Amino acid sequence: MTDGHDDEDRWARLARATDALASGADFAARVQAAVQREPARRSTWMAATLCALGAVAALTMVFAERAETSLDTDALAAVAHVEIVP
Amino acid sequence: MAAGDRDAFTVVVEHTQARLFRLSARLVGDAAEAEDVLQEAYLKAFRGLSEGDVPAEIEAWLYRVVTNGALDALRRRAVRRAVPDPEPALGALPAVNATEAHAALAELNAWLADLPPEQRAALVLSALEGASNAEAARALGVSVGALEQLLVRARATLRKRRDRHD
Repeated sequence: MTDGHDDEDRWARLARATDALASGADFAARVQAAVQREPARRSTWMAATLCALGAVAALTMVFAERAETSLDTDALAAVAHVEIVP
Repeated sequence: MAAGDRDAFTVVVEHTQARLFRLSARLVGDAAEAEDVLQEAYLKAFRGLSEGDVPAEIEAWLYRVVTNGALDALRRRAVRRAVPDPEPALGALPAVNATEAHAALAELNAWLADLPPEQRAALVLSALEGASNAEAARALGVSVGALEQLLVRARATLRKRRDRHD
């Protein structure tokens, strides 16, 4: 027991008393100022989309290059198999 | 993030700060430190939101962010082994009931000072915030069973100390 009250009474009293707690009058302005100082960020979904687009573009270039190489090889093979009939 | 989003976030702050400040103050037991914890929680939330991490229930999410921030502050305090500030910032309290609220916060801080941060937070959420065991467990990121253990240990510690003083 504490001063004739048990813990439950003490909790109830402290809960009532601390209900009156409030932040300082300038707190919201302080938070707003801190938020304003935050650097602008690109949304994750936008970053992810851009990354995906970049990857697609890179893959497209690689496949295009391979396709071109493959075409050249085929063309060379075709030339190599041309039989010259005297 | 666009200016409109910052304005929208300001509305979130205005709408939630009374409840969250009370939570923060009760958890850390000091009005000035509670403001620091809450401001950091809001900034963390703002960063999360601006990166597209938008929770379904923003107030419940903020409640968890503040609880975690307060826990971190209590852990840092435990490491520092600092003596609680006997004069929490009165300027952070309203004029009406300021003295009573200030005295109650100081009493709460002294009463719970010896408890490990997790036990202290569990008790504050349960006994002062009126959270159910499930809500308190969610806020602390533990199972309901673990929360019940924290409450049992915390109450036992307070009871032992009370018995020593009687």
